This record gives sequence, structure tokens and C-alpha cells, in this order.
Amino acid sequence: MATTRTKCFALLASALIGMTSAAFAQDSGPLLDLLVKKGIINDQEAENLRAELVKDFAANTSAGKLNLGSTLTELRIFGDARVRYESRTGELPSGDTQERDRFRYRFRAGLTGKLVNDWSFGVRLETATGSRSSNVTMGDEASGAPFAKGTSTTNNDGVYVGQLYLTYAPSPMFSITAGRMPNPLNTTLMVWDGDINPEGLAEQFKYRDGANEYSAVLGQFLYSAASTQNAFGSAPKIKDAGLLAWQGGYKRYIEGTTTFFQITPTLYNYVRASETQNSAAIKGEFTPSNAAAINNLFVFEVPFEYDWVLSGVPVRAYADAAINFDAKERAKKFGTPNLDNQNKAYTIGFQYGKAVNKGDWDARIFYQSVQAFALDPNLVDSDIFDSRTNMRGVVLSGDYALGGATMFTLTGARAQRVNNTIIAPGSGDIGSNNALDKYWLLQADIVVKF
Amino acid sequence: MKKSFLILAAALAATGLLRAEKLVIKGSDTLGAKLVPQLAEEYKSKNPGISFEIAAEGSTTGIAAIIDSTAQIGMSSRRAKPTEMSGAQAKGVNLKPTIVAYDGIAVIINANSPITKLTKRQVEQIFAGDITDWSAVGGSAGKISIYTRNTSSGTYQDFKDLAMNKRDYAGSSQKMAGNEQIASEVSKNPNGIGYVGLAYTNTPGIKVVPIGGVLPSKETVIAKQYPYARPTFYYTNGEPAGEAAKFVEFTLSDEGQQIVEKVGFVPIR
Repeated sequence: MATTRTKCFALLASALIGMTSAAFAQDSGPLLDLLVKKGIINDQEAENLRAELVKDFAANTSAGKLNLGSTLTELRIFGDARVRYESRTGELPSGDTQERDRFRYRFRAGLTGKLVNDWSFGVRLETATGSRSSNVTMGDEASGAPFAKGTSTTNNDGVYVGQLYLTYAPSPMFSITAGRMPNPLNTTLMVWDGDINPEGLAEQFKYRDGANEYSAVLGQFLYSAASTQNAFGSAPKIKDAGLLAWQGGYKRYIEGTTTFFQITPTLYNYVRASETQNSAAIKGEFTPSNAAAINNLFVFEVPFEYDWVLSGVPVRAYADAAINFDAKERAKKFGTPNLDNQNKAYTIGFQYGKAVNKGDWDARIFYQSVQAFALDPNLVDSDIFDSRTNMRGVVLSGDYALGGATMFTLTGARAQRVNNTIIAPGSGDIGSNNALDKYWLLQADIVVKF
Repeated sequence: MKKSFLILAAALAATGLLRAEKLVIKGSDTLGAKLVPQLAEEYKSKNPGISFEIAAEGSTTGIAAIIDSTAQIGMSSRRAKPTEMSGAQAKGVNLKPTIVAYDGIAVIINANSPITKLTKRQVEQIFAGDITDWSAVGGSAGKISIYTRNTSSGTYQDFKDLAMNKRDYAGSSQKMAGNEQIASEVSKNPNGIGYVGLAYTNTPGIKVVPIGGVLPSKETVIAKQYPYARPTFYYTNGEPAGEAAKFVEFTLSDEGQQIVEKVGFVPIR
């Protein structure tokens, strides 16, 4: 006849094994130790039970099959998939219009890992080759074969390395990152498209003293690398074109972490922009036929925002102002020396709510004006004003959370030229004619994040 | 007839045709350097037909040997990892642990060191590299030299789990092949610190440091007072069978457990 102790053990064993989940199997050690300590089971019985639990964990969970390196202390897998309907319309001064309606998709998946000795890494793969877009246009096969994948210059079904960076953070206050990284600067769509991952080095400092937080970000980005710096023979020496950024930051916490004010003035300096052997698109002078040139850009940007909670709803008021201190020369080389006052840009916006959980919604509105010589047209957002400067207009956007991981977003924009005497330079999606006068955008997105 | 059989057996033995059964045991250096060889010698004296092949190259190799069926017994000073369990299951191997002895991982320093005690927190900080000079823990100024086991060692993993909150060892730590090598290095280095199983604490030139006021001993290990106490195992493919079962039984017997204690481990009862 079984003893009470044997019955207890059998009951316990079946209960523990019956309840096997990944977390339970891993957390059962202290419970078994306690049972041993109380004399309910002995060490060998605990060991048998532990082995059964681990076997079950190993056999029935994916985590049990992972064999991660001992230098890895944390690993995160993340990504998103988006399906979009987009309609862009442009109008020339003559009244002629162009419409471009597209169904598009985007996929991004990444890994970030923390390693021993204060190192970490990140890598993200994403569709499409462009720096400012990971979108693939459906049915965009140039070869004529339907549903082809990535064989044409216009279709970007391929998967590319969007981010790859290493970070050394010897203290919570300081880190240095090298590689192709998420933009380390606090900025807005007015200056930087959110899809751009700059390449180079970035150093970040952050120090908090009570309610005051001070920060600095220094960026040394390789804008365009020369293929050879010092070729054999008598060829001239060429150097890489670079973008240097200095950002200082101040954040004042007013109530918890939800009510605060933040300002992050930033100075951008383009170095060796005129090197003749650098990327053909960026070298030379900014002219109506060479809108990607980065000469005479010395930009100062001041993003600031105030976040607070209004009747339980998070709200955000924000703005960004920028000026190009070298716009006079840029305008002169463009052939419009009289327009050297077209050197400023600003955006001002307001957001109500923050869609996070199922059923949540938010809405935002902002007005933006970017004069022709104020900013680098290669960096400004590619969607809202078609990658162009000399545009001003209003953007309305809203999110509705279909689920904890699924978001529906609707965005509409209307813009027109700031100054009608010059073109709206930039490499937009609406035609190649920079004489674009008016512009409309409608986007409907469903995004799934994991 | 009986006489004829004996003559035939003697003749076969003389020509090598009657082969002795061999028990292959692989794994933990902690168990395999001293304890298991002594158990094997005693077992052989009672079972003359048995021979042993013992390879003590770390617990990882012992568990791998069971999974690969290259040993009948795998010695391990740590528990099998989930990935080892899943690897075993994929090959139809059922890893069964049997506790054969208890051990305490003793933290050792040079005998001439003025240090007389350490806390658990200090041990973690020293081995993780947060503290690099003995003056930070009450000793004379001097850069701490850390000696650890290599990564195939069960003690290497157990010490991380028990003493270091699963943190990684300091980059400057030096990895040694066995307990005896660690004890030897610490005995020669006035700034050395390392860890060894209880059976290796009698090396001249070293001393064992109390952790939180507790020294590793039979009593503190059994009572689970010593913070770095642990069981040690034989792993087999399911319930042991044949000669392996007899050797496991011998290890767990009173006679086997007396050898366990004599070598310096803590018997299971």
C-alpha cells in the first residue's frame, strides 16, 4: 500500500508535469528546493522531477531548442509588415495633373542583442533599396511577367540590410555606435525622413539631475564615400563627403514621464560636398537640373515639444524650425541670388491621444513650410511633400488600433509651392518635372508589428 | 569436465580471446580526477573482469557522451541544459540524472592573503570584474588575478549560476583545465582567487574563504547553508543497465559513499 508520502510525490509529479509551460518549467527550481527543504520529497526525487520538467520544456517549447551564445545576455526579435494604399496627385502651374495610385507593402525584421562587457548590436532587414522608403509596389514588374520578384529596377521585392550597427555603452550616460544605425538625432519629418538610417559614427551622452535631463548627440555620417581616395598615378586625391551633426538637448520633466518639455537644437555641417568623384547625384552645384547637390548647406534646426495629459489623454504640441546659414551662396549658384531669403523652414503640430491598445485612436495635424534653400532635399520626408523643398501645406493623420499589434493609419496632405518664382526641387514620385505647383497625398495603412 | 572447462578458460585468457568488459565513463573533472578513479579501483578489486576507461574533460563532454552513446556513464557536476535534453530526445536518448555526491564550490585564495572573509556580493563583483583590486575588499593593494574553469566544465556554469547571478566572468579571468590547476595557480599567486570542489581544498599554499561567514564543509553543504553547495551526477541513458547499473549501485552503496567522503565530497546520506 502506498504511503502518504509516495502518494504526495506522485500527485505532485503529475501536477507539475501536467502544468508544464515554458515559464513554469524554468521557474520550478525554487519550488522543488522548498519541497526538499520541507522533507516532502528527497533530492533524487526532486532531480528526477526537474529532469522531466526540463525534458518537457525542451521538447515542447521553442525556447528550449534555442542555444544562444554565452556572450549574449539579451536577444530581441522585432519587426513589422505594412500594406498601403497610396494616392499622389500633382498639378503643374498650367493646370495639367498627374495621378499615381499604388498598392504597396513593406516588411522589416530585426534583431537586437546585448552582449557582455557593455557591447550590443542591431541588425534589421527590410524590403526595397531606397534610403527613404522600404515600400514595394505591387504589380510593378518591368519584365512583363506577373508577380515577379525583384528582377527589375523599379520593383524592390528583395530584402536588404537596413540597419547594422555595434554599440559600446560603458556607462548608462554614454554610448558610441558605429555602422548603419537608427537615426540617433531627435528631429522631425521636416528635416529627416523616418526611414533613413545614417551610416557612420554617433556618440550619445545623457545625464539626468532630478527633473532636468541633459543630452548631447554627435554624429559623423558618411554621406558619400569616394571609391578610391588616392588612386595610382596622377589622379587627384579624393575624400569622402560627410555630414557632421551636433545636437544638444534639454528635457524638463514636469509630472512623471508624461508631462515634459524638450528642446534639442542641432547644427549640421556638410563637409567635402564638392569632391568631384563622390556620388554623381550629390556633387556639383544645386541647380534646377541638379536638385540633389548638397553644396552650401549649413543648417541649424531647433525641434521642441511639450507633452502633457489632458483629461487622461496624452497630448503633444511640437514644432521644429530650421535655417540654412549658407543659403545666400546656395541661392546664387541656383541662379536666383535675389531669393537668398528662402532659407527657412518650420513645422508646427498637435497630436491628441496615442493609439496603443485595441480600440485606442489618436489624431494629429501639422502645418509645414520649407523654403527652397533651407534644407537638404535628400533627407526631407519622401511622402508628405513628395521629397521636395519649396513646399508648404497641411497634413492630417490618425491611427486606430485594430489590436494590440495591428494599426490602421489614414494620412492626408495638401501642399503647394512656397515661392512661385522657382521650382520645388527634389526627387519626388510625381513626375520628374520640378515645376510641380500643387500636391495631394492620401495614404491608408494597415501595419502589423511583432 | 569441470577441469577441462577451467583449462580451456585459462588458455583463452592467456591468448586474449576472453576479453574483459569495459565500462566507459566520461565527463566532469571534479568527479573524474579523483573520486571516480578511486571508486573504479575499489570496484575492480571486487570485479576482476572489469576494466574502466575514464576521461575527465568536463561535464559537457560527459553529457555529450551519453547523447552520442560513446559512454555508459556521463559524470557531471551540473544539470543537463534544456538544449542538451532536446538534443538527447532527438536521438532517442533519455538523460537520467542520479545524484552520487554533494559538493561545495570553495572559493580559494593564496594562503598568504590577508583576506579572511568575503560576502556573496563581493564574490560576484570580483569574478564579474566589477572589483579589480584586493584593497576594495579589505586586502592589500594588488590587482586581482581570477582563475576559472574552462567553458566545458560544469563547475564553470554552476559557479555562474550560484555565485554570479548568471553574469559572465571578467574578461581578464584565466581559464584552467581542472580543479588542480586552479589550486596550483592560486597557491603560486599572492593576488590569485579561484574556485575548486571540496575535494581539492587541501592543496598547500591556498586557503578557503568563508562566504557570508560560512565555510564549505560536510555539515554546511548537507544543511544547504553554504551558498555554493550543489549535487553531482551520473547521467545515463534511462535507467542504467548491465555493468553500468552495478557501478552506479556500488557508488551509492555504503562502501561507495565512504569513498565519496574519504575523497572529500559529501555523501548523499
